[in-house]
Amino acid sequence: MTEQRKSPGDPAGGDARLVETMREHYAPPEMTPAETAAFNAALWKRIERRRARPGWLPTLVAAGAVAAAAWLALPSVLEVIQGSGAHETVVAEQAAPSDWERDLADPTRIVASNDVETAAELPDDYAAIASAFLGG
Amino acid sequence: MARDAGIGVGVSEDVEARFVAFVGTHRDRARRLAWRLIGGDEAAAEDVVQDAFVRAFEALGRFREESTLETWFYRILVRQAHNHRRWRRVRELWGGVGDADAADPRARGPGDPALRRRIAGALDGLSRPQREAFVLVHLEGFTTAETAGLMGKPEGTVKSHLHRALKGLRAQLADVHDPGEGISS
Repeated sequence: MTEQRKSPGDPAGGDARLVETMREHYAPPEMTPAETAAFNAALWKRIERRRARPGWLPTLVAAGAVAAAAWLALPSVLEVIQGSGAHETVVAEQAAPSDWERDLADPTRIVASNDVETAAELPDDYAAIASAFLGG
Repeated sequence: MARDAGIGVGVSEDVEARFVAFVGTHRDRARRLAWRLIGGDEAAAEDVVQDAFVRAFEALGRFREESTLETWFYRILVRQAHNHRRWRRVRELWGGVGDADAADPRARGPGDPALRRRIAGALDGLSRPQREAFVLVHLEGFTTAETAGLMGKPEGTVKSHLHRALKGLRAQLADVHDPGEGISS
């Protein structure tokens, strides 16, 4: 690849001077021979470490990341599931009062119930209470 | 470049020799390019360059011609530099990482350090494609065709980025004079 080759699109005039100034001032310091040797040594060490790494390690790391993400997402997924169920339960509970709720509100319903056989089948203690309170 | 430590079995002398020659040819330019793209952090630039060289070593067998390896290498380098900038931004948001010169105690280099920081700031203000195109073409001397290959964009798009980059830098660094006239920072 070429370096510093002029082309028709090169900036001219003030822009050329600006670019030249930037090129001159915006650069790293040259490496000393000792720094170059240290760079090369560090590079070989990296290569050795990479070659010593087991081939399955990146796959294991990726699988672990996926598992962790799924684990962290699990509570919110469960909330969605449970939340929809609770909503339905609340909706159901807010439906028309059940028979026992109506009986609780108005005990005379038990006696006044057309289901005479049910009333007659009350246990003795319930029958005693019914007669004591309801004038039976 | 001499190799002091043994790589181990499985690496042919030919591959090793090719890699040594490749590093020797491209080390200084790669380091300068990474430094300019990252924003002046020597340690980070060295890290990015070494990472790119390691990948080049692993890919040596896939490339028969040096020119294609070269293009591939610089493409990796540009991408790694961008990744570094992105992660540095995240670290700045969370941990308050400071200025590159302050972080690097060897804040040394040619010319005026204050002007260097101004230039870094001006380049930082460009979009990523504008900054990459400008650094590759005007500071590092790649042709627009070569830069288009490195950036994975059409040549016309690269020229458009260059035009906008120069416009932005002209506005930011309008008072920067010709070295012969004395530098204003």
